[in-house]
Amino acid sequence: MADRLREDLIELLPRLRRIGHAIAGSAADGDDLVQAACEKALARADQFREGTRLDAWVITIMRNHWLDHVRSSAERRRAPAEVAEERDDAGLGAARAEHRLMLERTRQAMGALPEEQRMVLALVALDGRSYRDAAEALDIPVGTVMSRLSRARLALSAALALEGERVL
Amino acid sequence: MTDRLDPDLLSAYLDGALDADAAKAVEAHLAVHPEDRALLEAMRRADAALQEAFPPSEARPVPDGLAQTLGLATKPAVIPLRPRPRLMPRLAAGAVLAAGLALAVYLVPGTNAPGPSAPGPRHLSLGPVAASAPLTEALATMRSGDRREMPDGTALVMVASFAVTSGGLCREFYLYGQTDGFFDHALACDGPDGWSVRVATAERGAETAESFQPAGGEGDGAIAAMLDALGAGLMLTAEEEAARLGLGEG
Repeated sequence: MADRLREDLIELLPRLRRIGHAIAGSAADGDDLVQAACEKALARADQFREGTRLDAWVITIMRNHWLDHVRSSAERRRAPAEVAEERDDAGLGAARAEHRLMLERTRQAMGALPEEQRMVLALVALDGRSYRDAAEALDIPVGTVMSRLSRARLALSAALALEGERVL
Repeated sequence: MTDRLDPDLLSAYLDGALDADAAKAVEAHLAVHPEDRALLEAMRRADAALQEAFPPSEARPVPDGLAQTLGLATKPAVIPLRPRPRLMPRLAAGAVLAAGLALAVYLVPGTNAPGPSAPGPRHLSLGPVAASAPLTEALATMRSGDRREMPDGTALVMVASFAVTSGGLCREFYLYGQTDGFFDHALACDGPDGWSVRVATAERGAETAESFQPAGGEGDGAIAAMLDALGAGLMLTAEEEAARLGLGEG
């Protein structure tokens, strides 16, 4: 059972790591999160019900683990967010530097979102999950997935100034 | 600001999560509401930025701990190693501390190197840079984000500048070997005796015309640790950097 589960986890690994990266804010923290979730999943292999969605189950474990440890991580993420503000209009000339800055600001804007919005965005916009899958993994109604998504996207658009001078 | 569409609907439309009737209603609304079209486009671009900021993880090697948990260590390369974009500015404090070990290893290229996957620098040597060397001129004049072909056939991409407590300036850069598939990820700092390469690591990766995607990442830790040791502040902005380099506007 555990061997089979391990193989299934390996198959899921690329997706889990990308989601972890987006949730935790850094690739290394994301990998730590994925590792912790995989360890828990393997330790609880007997709790997994054959025929149910493994990805949803593992993502639920990831989410719970992250929320349990979120306080210590949140502080670490806040510091770089302030850096982004300072550099908001640095006006870097080179396209490459601007591109880097954009990616950095995107990560920081993502990190500044409330946890639950960030998770929905990671699952739907990044991992391409359906609303129903995301709802199942996060144990929330589909309507909540929908509203959190739109709020997250609005916040991200605003932080990245993607919409020009829009006034709400 | 009346007659705006519920953003939830726009967002769901973006995901193709509306039924046919609802999607049609959204499209009819968008046809006559450019402000909501702009909002939809902004959401689309936010998603695109997200995709890029958190790229597919196959680009990153699986860390040892995770590989062990899943029993990957004993299997052939299930997860391919490919270039990954890297994140500036400096790593979080915890990561810097953890990177101390990497610094010890990589500051002494050729010794302790864990196998052929981590060779020493290919194009750079540690220590002072001759005042007449092209690298000196590049370090003193290139803006971050700029790329320059060097006389020896390498290509230098300037990444960032940092002010350090000694009053000096440190510059992080990549030096591409054009053909050998390796590049140096390095940090050089200026001082009374001119520029000196303080950290240089060889990493495998490719530079393409479209994107700049260094691989590996050993240099991240080593450079962050060195910057930390030198008491570097935040990455300089373009204006601060231009001022430090004595460059004019534009």
